[in-house]
Amino acid sequence: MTEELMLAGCLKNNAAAQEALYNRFSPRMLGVCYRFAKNREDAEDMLQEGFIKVFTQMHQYRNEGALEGWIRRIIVHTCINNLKKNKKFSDSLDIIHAHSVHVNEEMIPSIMQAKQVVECIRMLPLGYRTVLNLYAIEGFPHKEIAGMLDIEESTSRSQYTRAKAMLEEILIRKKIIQKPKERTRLLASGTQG
Amino acid sequence: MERKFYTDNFEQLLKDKADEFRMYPSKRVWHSIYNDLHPGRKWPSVAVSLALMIVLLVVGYWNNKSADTSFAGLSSQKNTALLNNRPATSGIFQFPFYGAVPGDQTTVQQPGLTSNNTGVFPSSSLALLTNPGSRNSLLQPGLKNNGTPAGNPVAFENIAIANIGLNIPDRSIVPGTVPSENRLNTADAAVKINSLKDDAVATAFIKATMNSKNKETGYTINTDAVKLYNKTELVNGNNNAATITAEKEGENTTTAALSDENEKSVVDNKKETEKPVSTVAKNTISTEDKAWIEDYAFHNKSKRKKWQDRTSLELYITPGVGYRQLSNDPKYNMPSSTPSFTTGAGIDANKAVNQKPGLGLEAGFVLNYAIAKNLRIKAGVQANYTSYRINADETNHPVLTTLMLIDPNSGYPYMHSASSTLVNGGGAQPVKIHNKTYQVSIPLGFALKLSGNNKLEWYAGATIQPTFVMGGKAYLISADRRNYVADASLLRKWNLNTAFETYINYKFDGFTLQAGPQFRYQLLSTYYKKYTVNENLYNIGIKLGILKNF
Repeated sequence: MTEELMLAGCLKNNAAAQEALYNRFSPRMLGVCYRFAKNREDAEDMLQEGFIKVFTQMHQYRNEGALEGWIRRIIVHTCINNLKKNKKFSDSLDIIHAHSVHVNEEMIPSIMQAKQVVECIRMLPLGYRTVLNLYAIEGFPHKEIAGMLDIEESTSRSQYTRAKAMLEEILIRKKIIQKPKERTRLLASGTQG
Repeated sequence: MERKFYTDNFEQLLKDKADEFRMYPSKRVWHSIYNDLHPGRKWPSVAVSLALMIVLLVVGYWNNKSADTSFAGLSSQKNTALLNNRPATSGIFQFPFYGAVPGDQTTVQQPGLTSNNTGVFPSSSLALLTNPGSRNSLLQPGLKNNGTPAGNPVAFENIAIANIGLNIPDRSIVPGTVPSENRLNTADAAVKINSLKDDAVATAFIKATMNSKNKETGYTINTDAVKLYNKTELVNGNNNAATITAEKEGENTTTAALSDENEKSVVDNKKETEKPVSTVAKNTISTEDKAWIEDYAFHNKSKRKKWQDRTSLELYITPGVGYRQLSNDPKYNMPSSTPSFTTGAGIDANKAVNQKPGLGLEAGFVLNYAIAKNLRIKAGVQANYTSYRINADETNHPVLTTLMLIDPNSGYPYMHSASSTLVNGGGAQPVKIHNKTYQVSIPLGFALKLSGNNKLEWYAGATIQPTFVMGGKAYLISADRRNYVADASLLRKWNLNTAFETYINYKFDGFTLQAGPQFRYQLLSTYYKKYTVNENLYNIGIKLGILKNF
């Protein structure tokens, strides 16, 4: 089913079209939710709420951008609204000096590289993770993030800086990434040996 | 400058990998969305619940009504003979009555996995294979690798291992070196797929590539640590388990020839491995992959949180109405030839007693544990109060009456005489007597989630309840069905109840409220076996509860 047909069907509240649209975008959108959520069940709840909004607000889609981008934006806002209901979330945004995360070798499933990266992101404290998701992955500017999370723009920046440093550390310790310099050094020593 | 470049690349890496990541939601999500968008379809579920409640209420009503009707007939046959022959003093008499004599995952197999090039696979690499959360299992009996380094990729790719830390010392495996289809067919080591069974397994393949530098990001993707998950379509068609058998060993090349039905998909898979890293990771994930990932995600939460997320405390109270079902033990029906009791003989005790429902109450707590997404098991403690009313008459003087009991030693029935001022109709003034019990029980059962969304959930469940009867009042119908005798000593101390319930959960602020109808039935008679009338209580109530997760 083409995107146009799906859109037309969804506007008519056609269940088949809605299901087709859901099947097409739900895997990626659940991946988005999963990065924000505490666990898979919460992510599915967010996805459900988000898609209901998508279908009920479909008439607001103007065909001015990619449909996926429009859906993703709704899903992200749904995730944020969902997180904001949780008091722990607002507390976590106030974390200035988060402790380093203990990386247990068994904590991260190693099935796919993408999944590994996402799981590493999910190891971050909630506030860090949310800002990092919004800025680095979803591409929101700090100003908009500040508005979404009801925090100062400077807080968003500092949260992101710390989140990124912590994530880098996790990824390097998990040997998922290596810094370019280290790589060079490693290769050089390997050549000499 | 270098730092900025580094930073930008890092963010790009994150974005790329995060965008590649996909998860497949469970069917529940779509069903909930569908129900929300098309509310008309919800009505069958609600209608079934209402129908169930109505049926239970109608059954209760009819049961009660039939007892009333029968009792009217009985009242017209009053016989006062016994009253006239009563002894001067109330007492208990026993005389033998010689009436009727009571008759009476798919397994994981990986033996002897050796490789001249790679050494033995580290145990960590088998973690995935033995992961209890994985529905997919990999079978690799006797697979050996003696071959030349350049010929190994296929063997590696067909060894279904995907785990971090897989150490492959031999670096001569060239990424992207993929044997042709013809080469597969002429391979020395034949790998056969057989012993296929339903509900098992796909085979996961590793792309064992060398460390390769991600030129786009400036980061090195350490593929020794990260084996790309490249799932084969090997058994997609039949959704079966595969037993891989190495038929030949000891040759220089360890390539694999697969059975015809799977050949194409394997070759396709090899072609895919030639793609760049990012392209491979974007492969469409099969249904089995989806199931695997779902299963993996469900079973691989951190241990500390696992029981907390799955366990909840439930407090509840169930007001209701209590009924009873009386039945004669057919072996001990009063024979019509017994002169003194002919008028009451053979009358169904259930019809003889004019009962009205009484209030019942249950209250307690249970611990719920989610053993699956839609299934909870539960255990707890519950206090019960059961009652029903009997419409009787009171006489101005005690009368002699009898209960027919069974001698537990001989098995013969005997008449246990007693005095009573309560008669089953025809007395001086009507009175209401209450049969009631106080119980403590241990409900053990389950609850199955039938449907729901993030706010509302619909459950159905059942429990079995070993019950201790702490006390109560028992008015027993006499052998001739004319009198009631108060004798609580005949109340059975240990009993067994069962309950069926369906309820709606409503979540708010970390709590869950629940409400729904419940039907509770007492499986054993209220009285000891020696009393020849069996009584089974049942209650219909509305369960109101509150749940809190740990």
